[in-house]
Amino acid sequence: MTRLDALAALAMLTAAAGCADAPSPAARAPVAAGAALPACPERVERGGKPFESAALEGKPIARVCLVGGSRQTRARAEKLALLHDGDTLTPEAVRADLAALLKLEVFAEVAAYGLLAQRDASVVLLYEVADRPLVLDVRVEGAKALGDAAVERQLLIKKGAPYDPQAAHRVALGVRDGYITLGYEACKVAVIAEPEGAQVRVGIMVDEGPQSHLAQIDFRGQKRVTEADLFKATRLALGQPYVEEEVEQAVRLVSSLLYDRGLVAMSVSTERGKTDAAGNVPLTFVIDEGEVHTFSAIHVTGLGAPLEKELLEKVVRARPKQTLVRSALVEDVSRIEEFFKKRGQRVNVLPQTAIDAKKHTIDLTLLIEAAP
Amino acid sequence: MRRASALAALAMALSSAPASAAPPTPIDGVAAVVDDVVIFRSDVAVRMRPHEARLSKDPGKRRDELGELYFVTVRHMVDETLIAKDARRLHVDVTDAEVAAGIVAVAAQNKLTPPELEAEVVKAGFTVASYEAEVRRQIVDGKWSVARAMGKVDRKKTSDPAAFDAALEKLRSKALGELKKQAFVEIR
Repeated sequence: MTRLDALAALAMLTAAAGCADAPSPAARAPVAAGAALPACPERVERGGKPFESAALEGKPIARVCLVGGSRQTRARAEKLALLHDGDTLTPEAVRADLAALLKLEVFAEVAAYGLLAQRDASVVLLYEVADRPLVLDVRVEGAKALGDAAVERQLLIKKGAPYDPQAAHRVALGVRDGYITLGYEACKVAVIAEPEGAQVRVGIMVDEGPQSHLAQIDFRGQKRVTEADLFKATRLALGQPYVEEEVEQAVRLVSSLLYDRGLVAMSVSTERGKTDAAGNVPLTFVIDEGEVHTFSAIHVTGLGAPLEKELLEKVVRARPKQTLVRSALVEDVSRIEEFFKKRGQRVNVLPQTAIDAKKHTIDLTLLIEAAP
Repeated sequence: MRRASALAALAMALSSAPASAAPPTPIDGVAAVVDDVVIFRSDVAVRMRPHEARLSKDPGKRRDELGELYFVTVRHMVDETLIAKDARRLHVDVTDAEVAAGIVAVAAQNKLTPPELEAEVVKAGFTVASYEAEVRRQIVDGKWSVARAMGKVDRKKTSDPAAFDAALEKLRSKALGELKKQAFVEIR
């Protein structure tokens, strides 16, 4: 060891013992290579030119500095297998390091900077980190229907933990969704994070808005299906909270009912009436039934001719000129599968339809394949 | 000054120069966060590359234009990320065969053979892989738009391609707006 190396080592030891919270190299001590290396700064100076890091790529790293953060978070970062002196700087490796630092979930911000050193022969790599503030307390305000305390108990944000704005956002969405299922369509939930020193006070502010109820349900345009059947299909009840998702589901259920009656070209939409001051919402289902479609022909394929004939005559109950009824078709599919099961075979039955929009007929083919 | 401190100071002076006068060059950092997806500045830089040839040669102007291009690209990537996540939820998949067919279609549209197209895209600043990824993103976007618009386009418009496209674009914007309302998006 030369005298210079020995002095440098002593200096490093002294510095480490006397200034434990100061920025420190992330990895091994650098090896001086003749020309001087810039020291690790206490903070990263702004003003470096963006979009010009290509000049640093491919150069050997002479020193890695972790700048910012607390002693505790830096200690966690230093345990990661980050780039270190002697490695070559590549954008991919730097990106991987930043991703690893973020994964610790203790840093609100991470960034990488480079300084040319040793007459531009090497690079000093600076990782700048900023700690997430710790949660000082969490409060919920304005949740009258659900109850502030009940909402507070469900929160994912914990006192003393690093504040995660994404988790806070999820909390706000969860609370809002809870209100929407109760008919509070206009409910707004805001997260307010107020810094207090290195900590943060988190407020979940709920503006419930009015509650809406389904006060009236009408149907328009139906000819072949009774209003009673349509109402039953919606699975909605008068007086229940108005929930858009449940109305969308009702449209699907009504469509399914119409399809089941051979109305394969139907369309269903809704018209929402004006909500009154008490939150009552009238709703109309607008139905265009289209024409009833009947089977023009029914085929079974994928098997030998004799077996296909047997299936069409003895197993399948759908017949040409019959109206398409989806539930009956599903039963035919089950009967075919059962037929083969009794013979010790497993099959998949794939119904294929060719619709003739002018004649309002359907050519049905039941394709049978051996199940894997 | 104690002897140890003096030695330390001397050693520091010899082994480490003071911080360089020039501020350090930014290499990478977080450009945006979309829920659990982090978009790094290096990702943005890769996506900017094919557009850089069109920028001014004047260094000052170029820096300004790069800055503008950066923000446009970040916003575009945020939208793409939201769409890709929603497409996965809707089971909208894009196969390698669809990407290959898309590239063949682009080549045909431009009256190029696939190898000629490949040469052109490399000239434009893409790699073959990044171009394939770009085509894949466009197909995902198209399929996702259709999936989100399903049953919502007035049937009368389906026979008029221009009216259909306009209706589809309107529904796409609305669906994207809804995704933004639900997601955690932070552009830094």
